[in-house]
Amino acid sequence: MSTIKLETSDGVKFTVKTQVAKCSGTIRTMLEDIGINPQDGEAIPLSNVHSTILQKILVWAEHHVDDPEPPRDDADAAKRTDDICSWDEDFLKVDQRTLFDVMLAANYLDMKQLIAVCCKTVANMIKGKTADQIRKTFNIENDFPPGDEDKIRLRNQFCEERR
Amino acid sequence: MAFRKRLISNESAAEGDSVTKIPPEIWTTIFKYLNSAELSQARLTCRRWNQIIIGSFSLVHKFRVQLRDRTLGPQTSSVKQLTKSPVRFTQLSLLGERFIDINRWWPQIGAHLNTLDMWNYKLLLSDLLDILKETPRLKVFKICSRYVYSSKHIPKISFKLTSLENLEIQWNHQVKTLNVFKQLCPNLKYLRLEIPNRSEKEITTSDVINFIVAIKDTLKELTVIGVEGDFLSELFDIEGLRLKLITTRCRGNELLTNMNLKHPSVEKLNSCLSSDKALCEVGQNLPNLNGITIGFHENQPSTVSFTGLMPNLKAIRIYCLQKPHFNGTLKFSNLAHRNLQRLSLTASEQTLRWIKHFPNIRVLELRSCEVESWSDFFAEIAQLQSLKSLKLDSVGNDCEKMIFGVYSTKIVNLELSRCDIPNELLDSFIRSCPNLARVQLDEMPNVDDNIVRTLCQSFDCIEMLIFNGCDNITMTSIYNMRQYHKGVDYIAFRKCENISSEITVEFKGRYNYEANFLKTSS
Repeated sequence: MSTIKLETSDGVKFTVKTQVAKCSGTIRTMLEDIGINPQDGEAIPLSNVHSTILQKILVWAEHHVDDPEPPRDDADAAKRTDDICSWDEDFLKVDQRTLFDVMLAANYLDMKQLIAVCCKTVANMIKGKTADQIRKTFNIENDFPPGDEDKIRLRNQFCEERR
Repeated sequence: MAFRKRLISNESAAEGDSVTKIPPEIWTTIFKYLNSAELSQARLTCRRWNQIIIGSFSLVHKFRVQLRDRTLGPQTSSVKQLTKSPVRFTQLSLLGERFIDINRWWPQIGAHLNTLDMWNYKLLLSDLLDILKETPRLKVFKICSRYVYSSKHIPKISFKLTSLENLEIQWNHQVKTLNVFKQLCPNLKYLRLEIPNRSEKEITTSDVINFIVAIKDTLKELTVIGVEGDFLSELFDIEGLRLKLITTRCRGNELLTNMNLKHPSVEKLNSCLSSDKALCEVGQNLPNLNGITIGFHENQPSTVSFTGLMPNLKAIRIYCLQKPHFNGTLKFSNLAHRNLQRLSLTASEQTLRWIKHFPNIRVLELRSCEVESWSDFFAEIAQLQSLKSLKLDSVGNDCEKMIFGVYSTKIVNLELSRCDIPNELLDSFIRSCPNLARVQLDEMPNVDDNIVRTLCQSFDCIEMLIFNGCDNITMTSIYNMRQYHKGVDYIAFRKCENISSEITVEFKGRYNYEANFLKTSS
């Protein structure tokens, strides 16, 4: 089983099965298109990913390495958020900072399935909440100039789906 | 307690940084999972989120804008808000009865619209024209107004809706509206007309025909609901039709007395035509017909000869208009039709006779039909060597007969709903389908753990199994799942009484032998 080395932003080196590492589109491109030779023993630098996050992502990739190719993204299809599998659900039961860091790293590493499941998790955190509750959840500051909020509220009145 | 609080607030302060690090494209992906009410709340959260949402083409499209006030004018608050909005909405629903100073506010809204639907209780024809005049990019227009009234004369029309392709008219009582649209839409491709049952100033068949004559050069698809029975005869009298798809639903029995012209453009005809004679006319004059929906009276001892005149037919859907006194048997005056690929029967009693007539079908759908006995039915199905998909919904049998030969079918997709097939017969039928890949069983009382085992263990090709409301399946099936065939990708048990919760078993690809048991909320 061939392996490659990955080096995180904090200088930690990971030895990873090539097959697992290829869950990342970014690494796959590096290996297949750019022709970096894993046998050289040189580590691929991942300057945007911290070791704690990479470790977590590798656990996910290891678990999902045999997953079939996802169906092509259909932009018009109704997007569901209640279809996260229980393993992923448990995997993402982490504090928000880690969740967002995993999401950012998955984005950098181009791991579409992981991004999707993170996005669904965050969407579920937004669903059913008022703007105020959303702000509290994500610790967002209300930066609307006075009155602007009301304007959007009014505009939303005729924008919401009704029939 | 106080300590815990501090801990939480420290944590969330740190989290705030992460939120701002997330790039807009990821937020857009997240927001795509929200509906418009949830998006409205998200927009109110902060300026950045608001910008992201209104800046995304696909998210803005989730907002179905409606102007709901009874009176709409430049001073109406919703109108003011909409005209001030930085978002350029392309779709709008317009309600309301009174329109004031249309020229002062509508042009700003109408300039960007490509889809407009109007649901007005009352509407002045002159207002309608003022609105349409300032909606130059309109592509899809639906008008469901109950009443359009105007003075006796149609106002002079000085413009055309050149981009309008799709027009749907409902509830319009007046011929005038049709006459207006006749002049307005030079490039119409799709027309749907729905005429209410008891309209006072009725649109007659000839009004509709006149309208179609005016737009026939561009019209590709036509749906007419609620005209008189002989509409099709008049429609087919129009020279130079370019229609591909025609759908009609007439009041009373649909007639077609004679056809004088050939229409090579027509590929599909959905109507309630029921007499064999009329269908023969259709077959002779629509040489390129490949799909047809008909209503068939079973009360007449009928001889079917139309199929001989439609050699290119690929799909046929038959609604049997059942009458209480059925006598006589269906006879076919031609040899079997070998080109038909898809047969759908609803409420037929002579199911097997129809099926025998189309030996090369790939898809068979039966709904509310009767078969003489399940044994005979399955024996017949086994004769159909091209059959790939079988769908039965509420199919019943006349007599019990439990003989089952050894057959082999090539069925890949099987969908059974509410059919009382004896367990042993079903089991042996399933065993006769070695190519099964996708199976869905809904509310099938005789499906039990044995059937589940047969399905899971017997074949190599099974990809997807769905059991819906099958109350005789027990947890045994769930426990045994691990030992069953490993090729299955997806199994779901939904609303099955004896299975404690909804269970979806997803096997991780074909080569991974470990199953995940996922509980999804119902």
